[in-house]
Amino acid sequence: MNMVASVIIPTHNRCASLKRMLENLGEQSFPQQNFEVIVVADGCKDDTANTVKNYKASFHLLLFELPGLGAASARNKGAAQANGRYLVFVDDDMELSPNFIEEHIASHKNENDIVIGYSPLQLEPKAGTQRMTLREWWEDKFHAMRDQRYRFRYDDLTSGNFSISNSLFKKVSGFDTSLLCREDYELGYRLIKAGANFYFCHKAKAIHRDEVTNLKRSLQRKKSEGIADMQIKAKHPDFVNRNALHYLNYGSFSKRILLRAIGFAPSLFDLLAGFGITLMNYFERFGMKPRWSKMNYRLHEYWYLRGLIISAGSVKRVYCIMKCEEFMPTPNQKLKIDLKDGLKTAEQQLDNVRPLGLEISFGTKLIGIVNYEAGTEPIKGVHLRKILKDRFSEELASVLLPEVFPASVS
Amino acid sequence: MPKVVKDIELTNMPAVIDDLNEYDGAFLLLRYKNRPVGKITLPAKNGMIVLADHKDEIERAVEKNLKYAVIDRFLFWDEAEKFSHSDTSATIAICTRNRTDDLKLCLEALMKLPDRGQEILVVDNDPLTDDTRKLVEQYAKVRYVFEKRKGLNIARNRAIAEALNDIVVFTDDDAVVDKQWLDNIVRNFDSPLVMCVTGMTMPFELETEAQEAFENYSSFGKGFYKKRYSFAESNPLATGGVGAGANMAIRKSLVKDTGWFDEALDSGTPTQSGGDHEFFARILLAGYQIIYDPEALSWHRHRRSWKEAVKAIYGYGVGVYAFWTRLFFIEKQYAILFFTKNWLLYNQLPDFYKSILGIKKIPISFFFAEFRGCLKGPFAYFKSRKQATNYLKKQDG
Repeated sequence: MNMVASVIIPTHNRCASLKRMLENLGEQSFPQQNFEVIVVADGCKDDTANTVKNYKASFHLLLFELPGLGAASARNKGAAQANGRYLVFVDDDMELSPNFIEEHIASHKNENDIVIGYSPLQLEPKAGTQRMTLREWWEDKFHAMRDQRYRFRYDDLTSGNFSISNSLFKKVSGFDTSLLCREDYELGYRLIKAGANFYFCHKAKAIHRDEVTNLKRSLQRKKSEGIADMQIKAKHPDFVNRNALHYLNYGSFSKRILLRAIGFAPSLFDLLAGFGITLMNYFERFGMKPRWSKMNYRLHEYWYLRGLIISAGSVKRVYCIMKCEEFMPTPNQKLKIDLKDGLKTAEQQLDNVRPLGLEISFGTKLIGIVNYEAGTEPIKGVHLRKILKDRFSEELASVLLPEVFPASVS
Repeated sequence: MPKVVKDIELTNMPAVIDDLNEYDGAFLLLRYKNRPVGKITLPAKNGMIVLADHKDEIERAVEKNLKYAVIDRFLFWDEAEKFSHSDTSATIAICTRNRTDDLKLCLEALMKLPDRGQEILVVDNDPLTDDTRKLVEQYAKVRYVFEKRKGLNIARNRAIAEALNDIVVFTDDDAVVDKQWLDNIVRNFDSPLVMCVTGMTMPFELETEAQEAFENYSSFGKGFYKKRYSFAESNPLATGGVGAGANMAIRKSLVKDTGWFDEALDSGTPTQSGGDHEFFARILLAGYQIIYDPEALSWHRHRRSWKEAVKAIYGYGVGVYAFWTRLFFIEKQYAILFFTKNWLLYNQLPDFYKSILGIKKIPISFFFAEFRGCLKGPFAYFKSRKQATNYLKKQDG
């Protein structure tokens, strides 16, 4: 059998969405005989299994059932049964564009490529501040990745819309099934380490019809993320979790006191956090958006930290685990480039070497250092100008400006 | 005293600005390789300005922004480069009423824009004569649309309805656009969430004291930094700094989501202004983004006489409170009350004191006009709304 693509859909009690998905798959521009669809019904108590069994599909449709082991297990199960050369992972609550599979497959140039598709969140009318914030978060993420100069990171992999070659997925042995969320980030981390190349394909569009994420769910998820991040950190000690470090505000004294307090009386703080949700409702009703946003941030931060503490067992251990990267030997491979030789030359150098770190100078003056960061792709030539603009504009200006000004005002 | 307005390229600066016998100074827009990086007002001595004498001042005026221009130049940075170039064409709409002379200048500038397949619409709003129609007939590329209902927002809505392209770019009839204006507007529509783009507006001339005072007090320029007003980070009710209707573009598809321009607002109605800022607020409240791009440059001719300038300031006062009235009662954004307080305590009153004490050169008549306008605003809004609904009723019955 010459199967090119296997579309893997893990699903959990969302029969209606799944039906829409199957219909979308029947309308694909990609030849029907060249792909198969694998539905993994995980702990479904609704009509999902029967619907799939009785579905008259024009493509090859397979069904597997699991007793509710979580999305990571379901995706691995689907992948284990797949015959296609490429695995295309989608979520059950998406609406695929007709050329979805075609675009995914066409973007694969070699076995090491990962293609991330575009999944805008579709909002219902009068969606509310929380949902609009969420939509913007997604859209900004895709907007950044669309820039050809973007340097990918592990957390760009979103399990709801990406494709990978079957061989690479097997090589890294799939998702980590011990994680209940963030399994995509963890896989992204291992893939980057294994030398995979990430690409973003804007045309591989799947509208995300997530209609269930509200504030409460979002906060619950944040707690799970805290738990998962701690597990990931324990598994990969060299992993720098910017998210966690940001929330822990590394080394800040007041944050430590707060964490101790949370660790000491979590139920009291949970109560306060519940009160925060009530406040947010009032803020929204009275049009106090900035306060709403601030409280939204605070509550997400709180539940994330709670997750970290739950997972680590104690506040002390949170710091202990998060801190351990200091003791890890980091690869000290820094390529030296001199911008005085011209940007083109520097870009060429980067493409030849693909370094993990950089030391940028302009003649004798040091512009800046890009340190190795686990989970971030090696630097390409095309990244250089964006790195300079985003991170070293002040330093660059101090070199360039004196050359400009005397010439202009004379 | 009048000032001459000049557009200066830093890499090709003249040694002197002369022939200033009728002026007491110059207002300079400073550019680096075509990109606006600062502005400065310099006094004339013996009818001329020797620029080398003001080297330090000029350096200070551009120091913050020149840096970014130089870096971008060094990096060959081009925002549009991010994506495979989309050939989005736009419709340019000019809403006008009885200002044929100004409109001619405006159209002449639009004719100089590079051809990107843009459509140009002139919406003639309840004109007293047919001069505008005759003028527009001389331009083969410009489409004339007659709108008999008076009101700027009514004309804007008509323009949106008539436009053939998704992006509708508005310029005023008394504004003159820069050559790269259109390109620099359109390039910012790079995400589906960007529903509106505004540009920077500089004074076209400062021939009278009234124009100068107006520019000092109520400049349309919102700075030389590009800004993205996102939903997460901005306060959707604070739209004063977002830009102005004289230089803005929206997506036509937006009106399905957020509704049309409020026909009870802006000039031609009792509320006199505020239509643009109210619309910006609704865009942000719907979770979309607005981009302010100073490189989308246009030159606005302020009203020349004191009477007109004071009237315009009065009109802003009315308009601001009128659109706040809408946000309070219709959109139920009760937090707008904080804005009335903050504007009064942190802007209006301090400026008023400074003006009395002579620290800031703002004519006191502006403040009284503005305060009067503010008091009038809420009443004007309800009156205007009533007029609009009555009109529609008459149409139906």
